[in-house]
Amino acid sequence: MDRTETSKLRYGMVIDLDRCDGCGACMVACAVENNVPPAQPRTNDRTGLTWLRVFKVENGADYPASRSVFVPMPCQQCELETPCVSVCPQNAVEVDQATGIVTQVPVRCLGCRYCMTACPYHARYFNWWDPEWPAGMEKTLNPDVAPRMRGVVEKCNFCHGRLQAARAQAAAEGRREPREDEYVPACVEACPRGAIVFGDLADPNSKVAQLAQQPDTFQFLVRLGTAPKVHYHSRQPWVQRMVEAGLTRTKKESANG
Amino acid sequence: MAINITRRDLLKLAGGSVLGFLFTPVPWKTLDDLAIWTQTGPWVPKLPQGEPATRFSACPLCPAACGVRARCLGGQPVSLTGVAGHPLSHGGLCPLGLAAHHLAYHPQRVVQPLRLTRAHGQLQTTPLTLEQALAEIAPVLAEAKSSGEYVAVLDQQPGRMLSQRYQQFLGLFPRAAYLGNDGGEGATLTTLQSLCEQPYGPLGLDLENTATLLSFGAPLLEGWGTPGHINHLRRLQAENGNDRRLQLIQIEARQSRTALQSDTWLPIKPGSETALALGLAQVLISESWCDRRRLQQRADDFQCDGGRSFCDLVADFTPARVAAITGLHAEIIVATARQAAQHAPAIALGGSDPGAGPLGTMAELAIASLNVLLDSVGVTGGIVPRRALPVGEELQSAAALPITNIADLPERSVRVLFLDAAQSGYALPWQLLERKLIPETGCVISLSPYLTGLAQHANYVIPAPAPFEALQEGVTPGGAAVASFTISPPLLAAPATVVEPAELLNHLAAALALNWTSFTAADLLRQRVAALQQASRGRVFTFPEEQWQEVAAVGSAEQLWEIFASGACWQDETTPAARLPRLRLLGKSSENFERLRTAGASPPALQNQTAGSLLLLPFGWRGAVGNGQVSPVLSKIYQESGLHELANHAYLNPATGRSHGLESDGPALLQTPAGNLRVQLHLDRAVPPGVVQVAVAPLPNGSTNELNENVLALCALQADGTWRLTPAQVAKV
Repeated sequence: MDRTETSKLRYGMVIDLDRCDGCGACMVACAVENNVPPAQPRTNDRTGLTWLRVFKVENGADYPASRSVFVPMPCQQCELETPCVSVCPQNAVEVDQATGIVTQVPVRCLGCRYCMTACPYHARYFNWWDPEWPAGMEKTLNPDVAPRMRGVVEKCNFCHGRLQAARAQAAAEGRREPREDEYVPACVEACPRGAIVFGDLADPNSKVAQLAQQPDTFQFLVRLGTAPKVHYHSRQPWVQRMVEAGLTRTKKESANG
Repeated sequence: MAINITRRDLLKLAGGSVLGFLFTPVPWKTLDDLAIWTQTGPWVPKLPQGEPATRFSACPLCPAACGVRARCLGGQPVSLTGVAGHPLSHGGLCPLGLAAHHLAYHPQRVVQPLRLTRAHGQLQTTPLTLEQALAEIAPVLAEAKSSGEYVAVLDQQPGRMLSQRYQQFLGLFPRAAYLGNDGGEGATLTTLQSLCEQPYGPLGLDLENTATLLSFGAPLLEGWGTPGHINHLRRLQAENGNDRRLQLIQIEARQSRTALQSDTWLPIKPGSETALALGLAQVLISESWCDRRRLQQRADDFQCDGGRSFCDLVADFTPARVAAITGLHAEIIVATARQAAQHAPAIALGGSDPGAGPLGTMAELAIASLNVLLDSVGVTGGIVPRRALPVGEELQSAAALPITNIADLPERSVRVLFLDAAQSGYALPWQLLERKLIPETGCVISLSPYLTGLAQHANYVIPAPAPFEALQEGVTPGGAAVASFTISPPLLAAPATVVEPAELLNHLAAALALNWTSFTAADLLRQRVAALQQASRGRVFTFPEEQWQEVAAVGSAEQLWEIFASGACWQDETTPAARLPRLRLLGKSSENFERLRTAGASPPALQNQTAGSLLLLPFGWRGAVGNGQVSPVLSKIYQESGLHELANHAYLNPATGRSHGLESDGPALLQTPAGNLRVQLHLDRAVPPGVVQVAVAPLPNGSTNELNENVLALCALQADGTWRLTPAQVAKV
């Protein structure tokens, strides 16, 4: 796919792992923004619904040499060979050519979970339960995002509701696209350490594009060739070694080209 | 022609029909619709509608009072974000604050007075009217007044006008105690004040100009003080690349998030903070990094005859000896002292993990003395005195009771204990309060919006407004270099049955026929605003303009009140730092020399540790370990991801686990002299050897009426009210 002809914008992120302290503000802001319901009593970390999940990654050394980083893992918005798109039997997943955002259509999803199996980043979540909020708390829901039914797969969509609102605002003012500061996902806005930078990767003047070009910036599982639009940054040597170890394809991964 | 229909024909027709039917969309469409019909019931929420608006307030969940921008629909807040230009929080809002607008609807919400009884680990609640509750509480207060038993208030956010009101109320009883608990956040500063011969302070930290920060376990990057301010400083430094000024040296046994993010982490043995502080002092003195002559002039006991001076004390704590006690290399101890002396101004700050409680009086004394040696008190970039907030005229004359340390209150002496709803964000074990109550007759009244935490141990719960349901006051947060004041205007209508704490005091005073002038919560805040206007000090940050306005330029108290009613924030101007007065480095008690020497050599909590036992370290996250409540959506970071450790999950170093016969994760039994607790065990290489770390955490989805047991109930309480170190055993279940 020649992205320069088909895509005007390529929204993406750069997440600084050296700044993230794993507070979870991004996860909470994401849930509030996108009407992700609180956990049921039986919910655990395998059945939880977290469009954005922060993982703790350790260097494997013993105390006191042990070190950790926190890795926020939203949908990586794969640009090429998007794994979830190619496996969906319902056409419920597609890459928006205008923005590069991988969209999810809940009403088309039949809950087969093939996309969850295909996603190498484990960034898709199955909704096991009817969405329920404590009595009265439904009044606090975001009116711009419809709650999903049970039995469908959900994922981060870079707060698409905010994009639509920003587009509407831009159109009302006679502009074709929103300005960079007009469209900011909830997690970016909430991060108290400013660890997440968001913007148009296709605009060489944008901060996110410049950060994505820095030498200490990397993508996870880049060897799979999916061209994720979420980049990470760390100056810690052990993190860089961990990333470098994942650059080469395994024999199994190379079997089909 | 006769048509013979055979059974075979019928079967063919039926089979063909079924087969053909399968090739039509009907069954599949029906299946699809059926799936949808089963999933559209009354439980599917209707989204809010109404006039959109943006309102401003301040987060009332902890003393930081971070600025809040609320997106509202039809008057209902649907999301909260930080305010980028806010002078205190700089756009920051913690995960708890981001979902604070949910708290009015929490499953554990209390909206009418309750009488609580406990039987077989179960809570039983009896709903009461306010009149019934007052009729039961007032006689108990009257008895306490006539018999001279203690009446006490636990206020975890002192300094508010409501705090003044509590003190005024307590002043009407012959024996009263005004209790505070900040988890040790301000202990270094209050200890430093207590050393001075003349009043000095209140004190704060001039972090903008600090070069080195020696943090003895303070959770600086996990919600300490004003989290937005700390994050703002770190962001500025990160964006300035190598031009970083503030060097954070984190000294603690646990690999906390602050330790991970610090510039240098010194992993000391648990409980050896006092020894390290005295060891650093020894290096500073022996290598002449401090001005002996100035210290001699400033502190009588710095060096004197008799062998009991500060210099005599620290002389024993050589780097080699302290290395053996702390587990650090002697060279690192020396290098740390030199860095603090050379990379000045340097602040030494005590503190503690929010779940583990205060460091203890001796450790804080050693740390406070270190600041005097480093000459970081009363200087730019160090510990600086700030001006106090003006108080309204009516309450100015009221005798202000000093804050009593809970541990200093006589055991079994309190007849009536009021628990204010405001939270410090730090843990407080119930048994610390329980031992102060008169057995059988002690009465606890919780002014809480929720039936959780300490409220579960009360005899009566009087429902206070939930966050954003009433005018709330935010006063100068811990560690701030200048005074500040915010009012958080309500964003929600409170249920008619909730009772403002200020109103409860009015009702009780009336029931007891006390000499008492009634003020509403709004009256009290108006007095504060009038006092600010009269003092004509500082400036006000207004919304939505995000502009400063000088108080002196505001025409009247009423105009200033109108500004505050839209969520404004007042900040005092900086003043030249007053010089540190004369003081005693060892404090005013003659026993401190010996106490410090003993505490430095071996913490009292470890003196009874048997060979082979583990050391229990509770830990938690500020704000989420207090006795308030968190939004159910916080399940995302606890239950649904494990990003923050779940309540009663225990962590053990794999090598320690092997030596105790614990080879794998799973359920286990934690045992201490105080009792047993079932925990979920995890082997984790980031845990210090010989230690079992157990999480203190909230239950975001609330809880049942079972009394919540947590690890704090197993901790050994020390004489100074600390519970940091407890010998323990862990066994597989």
